[in-house]
Amino acid sequence: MRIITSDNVSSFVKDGALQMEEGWTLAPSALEYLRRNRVRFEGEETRSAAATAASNLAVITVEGIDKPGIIAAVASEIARQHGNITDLSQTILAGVFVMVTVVDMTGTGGYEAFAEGLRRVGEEIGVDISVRLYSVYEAMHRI
Amino acid sequence: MARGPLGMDEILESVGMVGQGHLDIRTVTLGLNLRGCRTPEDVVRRVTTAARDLVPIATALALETGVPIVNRRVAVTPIAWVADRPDRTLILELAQALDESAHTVGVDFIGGLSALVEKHASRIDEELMAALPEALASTRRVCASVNIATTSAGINMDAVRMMGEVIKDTAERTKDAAAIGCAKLVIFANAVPDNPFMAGAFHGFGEGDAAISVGISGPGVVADAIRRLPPGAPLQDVAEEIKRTVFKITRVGEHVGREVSRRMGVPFGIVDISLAPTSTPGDSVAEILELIGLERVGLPGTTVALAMLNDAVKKGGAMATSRAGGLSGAFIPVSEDANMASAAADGHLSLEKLEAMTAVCSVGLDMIALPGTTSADTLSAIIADEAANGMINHKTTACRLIPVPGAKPGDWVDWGGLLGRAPVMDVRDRATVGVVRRAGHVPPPLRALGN
Repeated sequence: MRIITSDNVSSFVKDGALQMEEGWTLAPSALEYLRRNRVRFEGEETRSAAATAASNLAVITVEGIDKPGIIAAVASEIARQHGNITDLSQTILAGVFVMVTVVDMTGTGGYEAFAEGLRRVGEEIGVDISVRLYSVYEAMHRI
Repeated sequence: MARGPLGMDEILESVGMVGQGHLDIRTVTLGLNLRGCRTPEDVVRRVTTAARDLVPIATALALETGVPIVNRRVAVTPIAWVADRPDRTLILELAQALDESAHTVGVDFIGGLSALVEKHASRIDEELMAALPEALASTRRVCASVNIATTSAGINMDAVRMMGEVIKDTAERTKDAAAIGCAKLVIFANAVPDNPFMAGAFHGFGEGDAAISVGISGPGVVADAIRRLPPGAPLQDVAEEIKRTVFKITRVGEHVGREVSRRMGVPFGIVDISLAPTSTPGDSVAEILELIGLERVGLPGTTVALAMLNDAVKKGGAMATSRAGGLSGAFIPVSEDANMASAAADGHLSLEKLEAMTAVCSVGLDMIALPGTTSADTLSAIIADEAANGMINHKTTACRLIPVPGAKPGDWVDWGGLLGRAPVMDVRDRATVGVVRRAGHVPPPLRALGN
């Protein structure tokens, strides 16, 4: 699978509109560029690529009792499934380990397999892991 | 509103709204146009084909977003417009077809056994109304509604009189299940064509072939937000906090609705910005009113608190979506709201106060258990009073009245599940009511002449 990211997206923009090419997939990171530069999505194909890209960004929240190796275990599973971490923060809230990670799922086998793999890791190391679409949080906090 | 990537605090706030705040989508409703369907078989084919993917798609999306979708429903063209002749058997068969289709696609309720008779009832409309008791008693999932008034047409008092009898008969035919048939029947004034909430949903005129609409929920989230305010914060601060919270709830609702619509390949309809309670503790509109500053809901001060709440909900929601529609307000069903039901049981909340409350909020006298002895005339008179509220105030009002055979004031009635439980309320009952017996037509108010 060949992926359009923030690095190469500019070469797919012609006359202010996105031109999707056969065999390419749009990643969420490219969307940010397209939005910032007010690139138009013309035609069913580009619109549907944009919608798919938006739903390829996931938020992983991890909560549990702090212990060594949580971030390593979560990050290894993400890497094993070819997810790409785009943001990561971690803190201790009222004695509870809390970690929030944003992941681009474009290279993974899809939401279901990705979420299932992480849930399993959570069970193994004894923390709660949930995987949710980023877009729902964005809808809530951004206009 | 911040810009750029989301911060951890924002994400954790959202997680908390869903977890502790019971934020959910109350309903995702597929509206379906049945024009062109002539037979019950046509109806089954149309509904089971078009709604086949509704439940799987909504279930997957609830998992992916983490926002529960409580109900998946289907609303269809009013059956009085689908039936092509005034034939009661045909209408009963169409009702059965809806029931069967709902079962097949896995939805618990399907709305649209409906007629709009605010000016006059056609012969088909009359047959439909007369068929309601049997239809509601012989189906499980079918919801019915009749619009008996609008601001522009006035109140059809012939239909109002008939509906009192229909409710009595429906109660009698479903008396073994606490008159549950009446819980599936709504009598409207100013019914809207795009309401996603049961029991009053139908796919009205002006709608296309199909639409996905969403009803938001989240009274618990609003209650949490008010709790976080400094004690004694002035009312404008309370209103501001409600607006802010409802904005977020609405954005989530619209996002989920649009995603369901995209995945189903069906146009997006509307977001109904209504705070819809459930009987789960912590998911109550009455609790919000009590937090605003009432010892119990129903006491003096309730109407002003509700008016402010309802207005703030609309303002927050209207900022969040350009597709607000349906009923859009705060719901005050008695049985589906634990604090409402207990205030009624303790004598703080009367039928008369409820009527006053419906003048400042959507949607009406909803899920109210009445003594089984309540006369048809009294039921009709309550419906007419409520319709007058709607007609004069240019808003939707509705009645879901349940005279439970054998029950007397103070008894509790339990319908189970989302319908909840409620105490039987006292009513000033008369065997005959002159204003109902006169029948005829209440002319539309002056404000109907707005052109």
